Amino acid sequence: MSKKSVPIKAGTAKVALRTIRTGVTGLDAVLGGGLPELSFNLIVGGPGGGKTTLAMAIMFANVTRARPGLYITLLGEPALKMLRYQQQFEFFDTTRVGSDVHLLNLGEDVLAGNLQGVLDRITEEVERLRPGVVVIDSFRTLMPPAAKEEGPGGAFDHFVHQLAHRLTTWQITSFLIAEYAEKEVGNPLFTVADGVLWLFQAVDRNSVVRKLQVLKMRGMSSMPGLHTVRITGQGLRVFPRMTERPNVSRAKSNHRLSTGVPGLDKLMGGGIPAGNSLVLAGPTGSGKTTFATQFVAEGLRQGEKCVIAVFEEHPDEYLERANKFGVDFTAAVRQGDLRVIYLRPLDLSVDEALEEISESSRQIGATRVVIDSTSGLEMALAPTFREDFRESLYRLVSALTGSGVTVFLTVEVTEGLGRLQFTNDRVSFLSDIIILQRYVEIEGRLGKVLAVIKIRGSAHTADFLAYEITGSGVLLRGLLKSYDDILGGAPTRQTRRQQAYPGLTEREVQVLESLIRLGAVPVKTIADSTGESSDDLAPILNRLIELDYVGRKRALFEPLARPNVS
Amino acid sequence: MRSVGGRSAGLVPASPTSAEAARRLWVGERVEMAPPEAVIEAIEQVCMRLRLGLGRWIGFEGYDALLERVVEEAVVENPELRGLRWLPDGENKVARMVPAHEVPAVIRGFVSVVALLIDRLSQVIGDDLATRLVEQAWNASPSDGSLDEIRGAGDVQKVRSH
Repeated sequence: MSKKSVPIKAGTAKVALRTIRTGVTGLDAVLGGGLPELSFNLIVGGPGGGKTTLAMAIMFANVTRARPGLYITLLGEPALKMLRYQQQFEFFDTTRVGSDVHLLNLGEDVLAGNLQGVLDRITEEVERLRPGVVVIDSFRTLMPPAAKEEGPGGAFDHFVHQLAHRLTTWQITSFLIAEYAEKEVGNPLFTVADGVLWLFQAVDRNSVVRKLQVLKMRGMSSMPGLHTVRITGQGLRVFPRMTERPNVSRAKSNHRLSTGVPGLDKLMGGGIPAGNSLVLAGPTGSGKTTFATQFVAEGLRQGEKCVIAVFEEHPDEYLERANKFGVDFTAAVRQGDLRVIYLRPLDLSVDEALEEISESSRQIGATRVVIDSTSGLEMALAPTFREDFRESLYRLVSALTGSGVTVFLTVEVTEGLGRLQFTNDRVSFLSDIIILQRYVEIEGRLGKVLAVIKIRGSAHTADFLAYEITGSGVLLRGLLKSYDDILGGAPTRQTRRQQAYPGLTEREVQVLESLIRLGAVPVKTIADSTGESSDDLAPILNRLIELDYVGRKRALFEPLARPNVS
Repeated sequence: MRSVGGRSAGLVPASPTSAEAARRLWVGERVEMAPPEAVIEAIEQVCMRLRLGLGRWIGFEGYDALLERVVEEAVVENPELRGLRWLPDGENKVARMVPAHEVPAVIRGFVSVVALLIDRLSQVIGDDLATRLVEQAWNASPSDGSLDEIRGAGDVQKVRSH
């Protein structure tokens, strides 16, 4: 009699991959939503990268008295020292030690060189405590010097295989902490592990920057690339590297924001279109910070929330000075209407800076954000990150303006005897509006002028505007209509002839005066009279027509205005 | 293994907090009125639990080094502690040789040792954590911790004084 096999119904449901939170700000996002529960992970890197702190933070975030954490120390940092320093972090709750978090020191077992003994001790403790999270620190010390010569199948490999197998069957999320160099990435342990988190400490000149890379994380769509890590009193914080422009659509609005500088809005077609970015570029001492401060003061007056990121001045000094502009900035900070961000200079990463500014803006619902200055921001970055500055600033401005925030950036420009140049022309491309400031010498006096270079999609003045920085802010002095070569820094007063035709160049005046003399004539006649070629005359005539100095009837051009020279 | 307290050392007294914690723990043993043998037995049991509990955290060698240091300090003001064996060495019969009239002084000395132990740990890991760890080790029950399975337990049970 043959046995009838009972078919087993094949299930179609896939196993749900549950995740646990890491308790480290930013890391869950980098991992693609957290760490897979019951995974077997490596935390690797050189000394000082934050491996122990990361493991401790994950442990404290995930353990309970019923499913505690077991932190096993082998050789390396003495347990007492670890407890001494780890308790400095906010996440380290000493009241949970001994109940939720247990430590086990196996240093002596390791020194005895008995790998099986170590495995047995780990097994005993796991079976006794039933932990949810196990950390073994530092795993590398288990590897005997001769392990490399043993080759595959040696005692150490056998130990790793056994440990990985047991950690999986125990239903535990586990972490092995080890010091490995990048060239050792081919180690079999990296293949066995479900996840590998690599912590780097990059040194560039005098700056040290910590970075994290998710080398692998089975089952998760982790974020590629190197992510900046900062260790503070709170523990680790990861700043996810945004690899793409934020998926945002610019909020449509016809609303314009006042600059806070009396008279300037009118020259800008009514102010700054909401959700635009403005670059104010000027040399040192030209009043960039004053303009920016008035922009914020106006926002506060209108009941808006504002964020200022300062890099060249301590916030207290900034606030003290800003209080002179008729708005109590200090009170605004206290009330949560204003956030002044002062980022620690010289070893800042781009991601940190962006995250700090974006987060502050989100938190208070800011409509105005000032970065004073982008040159200072670039200087504050660790040298490693300066290469990424342009791309990063673009991401920041895109993200902010995309959510309707108006961004005001100041840029330092160098000014010599010759033409004005943006020192940081790498940032001018990202703005909707550019206002240029410069020093000029007029009749033996040093003056300041500004020009609105562009406002995307909006009319604005084409005139140069003289201004002064006074104790109470920016004072516009009027348009400089009767000067040429203002951009050259040494303007010359226009001749009476030019003044008769405001806005025209010398050549345009010459053509116009020829037409006044000749009457309605074709291009060839004008060319003969002025000596200009027909090709050169075309744009001149077009401009004269545009400005209503000249009219056109078929092929004939005729003057529409007469000079009003006294 | 070895006796400690053979040389004098300058004593930096334990903080009042540590002294109070040690006194409170000892009172919990409720053996003040017990016969000398029971008192010494209680001390031995506490020593064993402390070594097992703290040794798990900081390593047995680390614990032994710490204990050796605090006993050396305690002996300065508690000479009756001199010659007592505090660390596992295979001896286990001599405790009963402590004369009855010396037992109160031995208790004072032992509480002083524990106070210094907490104090010296506190200097490294802070009052809260040090007191917590010592309390947990002191109050650990052999039945809830598979102590016999932990390497070193057999040695610790041999702790005796002579």
